[in-house]
Amino acid sequence: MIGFILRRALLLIPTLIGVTVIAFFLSHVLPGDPARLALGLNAPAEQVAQFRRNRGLDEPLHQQYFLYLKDILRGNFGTSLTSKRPVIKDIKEYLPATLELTVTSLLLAIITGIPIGIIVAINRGTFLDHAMRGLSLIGISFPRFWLGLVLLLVFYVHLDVYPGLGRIDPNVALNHPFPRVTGFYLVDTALDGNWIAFKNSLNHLLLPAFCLSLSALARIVRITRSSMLDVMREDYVTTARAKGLSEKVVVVKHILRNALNPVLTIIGLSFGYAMGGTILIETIFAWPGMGRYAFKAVSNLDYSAIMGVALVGIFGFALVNLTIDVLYVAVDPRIDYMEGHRKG
Amino acid sequence: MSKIRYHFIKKLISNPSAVLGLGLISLFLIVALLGPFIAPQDPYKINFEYKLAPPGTDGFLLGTDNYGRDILTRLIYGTRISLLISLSITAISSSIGLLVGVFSAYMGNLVDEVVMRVTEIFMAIPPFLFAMIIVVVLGPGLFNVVIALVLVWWPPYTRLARSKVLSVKQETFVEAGRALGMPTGRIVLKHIVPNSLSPILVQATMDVGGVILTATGLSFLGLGAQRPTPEWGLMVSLARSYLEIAWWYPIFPGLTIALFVFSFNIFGDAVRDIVDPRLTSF
Repeated sequence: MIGFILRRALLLIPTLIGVTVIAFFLSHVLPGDPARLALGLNAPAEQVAQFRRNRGLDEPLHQQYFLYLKDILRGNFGTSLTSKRPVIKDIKEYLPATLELTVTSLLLAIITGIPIGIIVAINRGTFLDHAMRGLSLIGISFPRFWLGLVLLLVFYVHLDVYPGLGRIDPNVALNHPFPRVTGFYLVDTALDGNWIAFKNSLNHLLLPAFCLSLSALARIVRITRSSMLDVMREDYVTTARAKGLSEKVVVVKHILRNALNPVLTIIGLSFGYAMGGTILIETIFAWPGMGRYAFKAVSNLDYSAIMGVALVGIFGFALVNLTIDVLYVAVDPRIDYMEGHRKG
Repeated sequence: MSKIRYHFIKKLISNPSAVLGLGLISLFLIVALLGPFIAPQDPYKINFEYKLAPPGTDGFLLGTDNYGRDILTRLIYGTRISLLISLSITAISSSIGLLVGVFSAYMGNLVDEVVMRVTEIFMAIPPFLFAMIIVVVLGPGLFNVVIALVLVWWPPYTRLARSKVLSVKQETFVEAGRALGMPTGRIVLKHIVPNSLSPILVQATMDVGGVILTATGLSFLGLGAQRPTPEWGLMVSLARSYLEIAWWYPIFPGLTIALFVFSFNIFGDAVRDIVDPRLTSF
């Protein structure tokens, strides 16, 4: 098992190298001279030359690339032009906010999506089935940025149940301070026993998380249903029924367990989509996370920050896919993890 | 072939989802074609006396925006933009995918290996982030959105085409062609491409919705269409500031995007069911 994980992790290396190469050369297409950007247009030529020497900007391109790679391996993504801080510091601050949002939204999608998928699969062809099909198709058709605005209009402007933009009310954070241990406000406040801040940050979290979860929910319902239906036709399911096992045992032990693999794939994919979705959702809900940071970095042509965000995104994406692959093996005993594909 | 096509069309018209999707798509096509003839107003005409007029005011069926421009008219003109960009992005990226996929599968060995690694690298970057970065590098604008989304969308088509070609290559009719001494180019064009086409067409149909969601998302962030273009995503973006006082301004463009995406999704779904009934998608 460990060998399998290691092998998969090794396979990531060429991808990551490829991505850094693309990103590095893209950076040389980006308009603007980094020395002039950092020092200003009126800086004396000598100072500019000094800056270039210090940063290795006068070296040949391939050497610059290796310098850049060395920095990345040391966790040094450079300094952000907008926040004037090391990019890694920005990432450390914003990443937990995004993870809290994404993980919550996916959990919402999984705990509602899989049961709904099972129920419609069992009731195939009924009114319920058709209604859910329509709903799920509608669910993936709405633009998320628009849905966010509509949710704000309904729950903030009209119903006034959503407390406001951001992760927590500033005065709650001020009057009920809590230590930032993990960066996940729900976890931090709970560890601290600070239930007022916990409740406030939960209220802030639910609306954007719900908005982000809808398309994942629709996708999970669809794939759970179709995968269950595929497995239901298998001989071993008929055998299990013929043996007189209860319907519950057949559905959970025989059908669901074998139907889970495609569901896992979709969950992994949804994680990737959700990471992209956070760019829009965080901008709308003023959520101080990586998505909003990415958008700001991109609109300000803040190159170091863009690269940092991109690398974190790619790494996260890859990590999710690796986890899903490992889970495949855990869920489906027919897959041999040394070979990575189905036995006979 | 024609018999199969007849069979397919017969199944298509007896499938309610396909008919609904096709009907809606045709509606969008008609609206796009007839745009200037059916639009009640000029999409750029500013009427300050009708600023943010609610739906139904003096012939403004869906209300007006903050410049008093007719929202319905702007949505009608926006249909042209959305159809043009979504169809061109899917058509170009699936064609590239088909070409590269066939080439890769046919060359095999090192070429195939390199192509597959390159697609993996492209697919390792979260799509929306990737598209956003490319648009910024090229400069905001609809044309660059098309380029960015083609770059994001071609790798899955390439992999799909490649895997299909690899299985078609094993078919007896290809072997027969080779045994008859047909040149490779002819085998590829006459046998392999036509028989690998259907999954790509199905996938392309299903992708139109996702493509337009991404494109309007980029416009929403200010990276796609620029003012005063009547583009749907940009309209929602500009409407943000008027959320509390003019609900119709963000609502109608958003509903239009949703309907557009829905029509392609439900049609694509139905087509996939017909082409590959085993998948029993829903």
